[in-house]
Amino acid sequence: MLELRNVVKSYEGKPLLTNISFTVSQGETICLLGASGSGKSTILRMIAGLEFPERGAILLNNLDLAQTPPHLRDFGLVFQDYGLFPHLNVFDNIAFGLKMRNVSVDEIKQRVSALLEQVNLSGFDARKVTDLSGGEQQRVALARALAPSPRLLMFDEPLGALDRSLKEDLLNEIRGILHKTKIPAIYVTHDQEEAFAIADRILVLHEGTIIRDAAPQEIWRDPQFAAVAKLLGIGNVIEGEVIAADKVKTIYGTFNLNCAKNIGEKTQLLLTESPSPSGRGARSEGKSPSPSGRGVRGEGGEEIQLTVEDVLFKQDQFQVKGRGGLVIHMKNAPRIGDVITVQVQVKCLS
Amino acid sequence: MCMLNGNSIKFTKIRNVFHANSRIFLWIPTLLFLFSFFFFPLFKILALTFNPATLTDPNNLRITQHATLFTFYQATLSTLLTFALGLPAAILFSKFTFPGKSLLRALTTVPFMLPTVVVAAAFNSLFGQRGLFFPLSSFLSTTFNFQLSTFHLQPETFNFLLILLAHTFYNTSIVIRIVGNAISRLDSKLESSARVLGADTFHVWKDIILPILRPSLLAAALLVFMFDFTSFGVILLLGGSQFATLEVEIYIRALQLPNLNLAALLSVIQLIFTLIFSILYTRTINKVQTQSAPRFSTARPPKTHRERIFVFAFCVFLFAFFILPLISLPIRSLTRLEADRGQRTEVQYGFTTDYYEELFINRRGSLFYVPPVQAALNSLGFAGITVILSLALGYPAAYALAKPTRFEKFLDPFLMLPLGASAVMMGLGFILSFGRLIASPFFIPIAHTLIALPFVIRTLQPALASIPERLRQAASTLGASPLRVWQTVDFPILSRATLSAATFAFTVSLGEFGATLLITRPEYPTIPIAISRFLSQPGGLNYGQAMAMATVLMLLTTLSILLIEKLRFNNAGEL
Repeated sequence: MLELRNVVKSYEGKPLLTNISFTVSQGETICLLGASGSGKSTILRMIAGLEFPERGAILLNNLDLAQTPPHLRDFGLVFQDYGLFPHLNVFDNIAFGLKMRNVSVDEIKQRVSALLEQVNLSGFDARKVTDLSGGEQQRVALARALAPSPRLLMFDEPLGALDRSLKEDLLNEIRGILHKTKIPAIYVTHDQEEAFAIADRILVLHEGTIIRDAAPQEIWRDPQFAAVAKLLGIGNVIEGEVIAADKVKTIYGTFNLNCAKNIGEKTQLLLTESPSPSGRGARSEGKSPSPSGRGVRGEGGEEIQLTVEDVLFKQDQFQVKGRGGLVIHMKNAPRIGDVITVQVQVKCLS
Repeated sequence: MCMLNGNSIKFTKIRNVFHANSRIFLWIPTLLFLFSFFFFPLFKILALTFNPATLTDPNNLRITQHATLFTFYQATLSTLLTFALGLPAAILFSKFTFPGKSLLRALTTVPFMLPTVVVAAAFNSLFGQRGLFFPLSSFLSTTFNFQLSTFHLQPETFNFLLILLAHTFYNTSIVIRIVGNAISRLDSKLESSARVLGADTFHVWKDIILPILRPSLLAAALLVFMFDFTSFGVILLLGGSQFATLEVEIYIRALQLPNLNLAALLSVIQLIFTLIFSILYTRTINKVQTQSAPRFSTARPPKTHRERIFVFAFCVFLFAFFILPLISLPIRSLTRLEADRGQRTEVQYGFTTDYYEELFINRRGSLFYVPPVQAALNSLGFAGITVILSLALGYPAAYALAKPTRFEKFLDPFLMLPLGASAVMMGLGFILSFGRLIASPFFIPIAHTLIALPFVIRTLQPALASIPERLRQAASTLGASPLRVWQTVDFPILSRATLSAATFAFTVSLGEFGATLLITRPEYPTIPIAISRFLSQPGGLNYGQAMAMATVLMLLTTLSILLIEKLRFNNAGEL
């Protein structure tokens, strides 16, 4: 089991990671999500031993790794731009880690051909890696990292450079392999779809700390933080002002919520569509908004009035953009300028 | 293009034939020049070499074998020493940023462009028997009873070390450029990947970094080796004729102990090796260039304690190694350290401007029949003729090569062939082909033009090729006459390239030593010849004048280099 304990690291004199603690258990895949420049890759490099924490400790099975150089850690690392050795062919790239461990030639041959089969590249042994497509190169990189049976696998935005359909295929392959081998893995990405698809647990990195560490479905249900909701694209994050102990005023009306803040303070709210028979949560109305402009409590939560500003066709539904940048989804397209009533659920965020 | 019908194809063909015919005139002067002054002498040398009398003389074969082995020996040692300095320097420049980096980098490239006589004089002024360092060492030996002879350094060994050092001084910038570029192109992720996969530092270098750098290491080694192999001025002036490399031996057998058959044999051997090296070099450098595209610079300030010590100590060392010879030369030219020849009065040591003043005086019993400053005037005159001649011959060829036909592409390597022949060999060819005629001073600028011409063509050609035909067409549709088109379109682009090529030819001519030494007559000394003669004579005055002239030559060359750098048309002139 890998454990990070209060790890601190700065970059060019500025604090980058102020306090990082988390664990990865056997057979578990965690996903580390954060905006670019938030220090995700640095965390991986520190675990790999390529950089060193300024304070705190990185432990594997309760043993501090501080004195273990990277080549003795037995970890695997897969980069976004593959990092394949350009002067070696596919076979020698995959065999590199085994050679460093003085594995016998016969065993290397067996292992490499098994791995090539596992990543669907049988027969590619003698190919030059520079002649491969991006997806093929990333498969070789994956096989190379898997070859020495590492104690931990790390992925640094491995699909970032690939196009969409390739991404899905490879993501499924990685999932299957992780599931089968039971190797614990840390998967770094800024793509929420990847994160939800692969993670047993999602960790959200924001301003130097892990602000959320939970299973995907739980995070989806309750992101808790505005930064988490924004990063994962959950619902709409809107601004509000606490006007009474249990009342928050927004441009969409006033909601009955207790956000545990003082009166007059600003707060951020999560506004999600409630499922309803008509569309995903909205129904179209031709008439003007109610004069009070107040949110009304409906069956699924609150009901708000929304003036349509833009309509975009998205797969099987329409993405409707309303006043103040609010985005909802509908089965039938409203006209721009229409005022619609939307069933929403509202939660406090911090 | 795909809409061409039969008629227009026919028309194009006719035009091409017409074109090809008129284009022949572009080639005539250049080819005529090369045939009379390069290929004809080359033929003479070959004929003499494959003369049975040459090849059956055991003495000839013995000397050739000895010279070849010694040339390989000194070039190998020089290359090793150059890499010992160049590799850490390449790492320094490609991996780290530090204050004064660009200045230090520029400093390391200065020697590469200096004439051999200047470098030889500079090293002499620093470490030579009459140099600045010598009084210091004798001071040390008298004060601390510390002697150079405690290292058992024979004068020959010391001179040999000086030659190696001067070669290192010359060629380190090649290693820095070729290997340094390759290092900075290295993807740092490769090292990270290898480490995580279980490679320790030794394996990271052995299995990843060195194999990836191999083409550039090889290319740099070949180029450095080739320059060391053909080095002449440095060896002759710092070592003397007992260091019989192929080049020095050719010179000895052409002038001092005449045996022209042997000289011819030696130069053919030399030419064969040079051609082999340049073919190998061209192949490897092509591999280097097809490697991954340049990435953004990964250089950073030194972080760890060890890195800081390396960067600081190595910067100081590099700076000292490159600046000391360059400043000791002018200092020594203004310092009196020994008595003049035949001087009986007490010697005034210290600052003096005598050596410069003496350049203007025609003394009886001096080395020349003219005041030494005449050598400078000769040099300037020859350089001027070289500029005119090489531009006159280079322009038509460069113009044809800007949009070459297939046949002209085939001609191109022949224009570059003089680069492969050494200057001493050209001088020998002149002696063999023109005999007594070379007493005429005009052969000196002709030899200089032969050497400068490939550079001039390579400078003009990209500029000529860069003028888009559309620009000319646009100008003429706007109502410009052909003259006006040339004036407004061609001239502004060409003037820079022309000036740059001219400066190049001028600099080459000013510094040329090998060919001039073989064909010169005492009445027409050039600056490099005068320096070499002054250096070979005893007496403080002669030595001082050598220093003074070398300083003048260094300043002239440096000014020219600065001018070329300012005028450089993109990357024109890089061969």
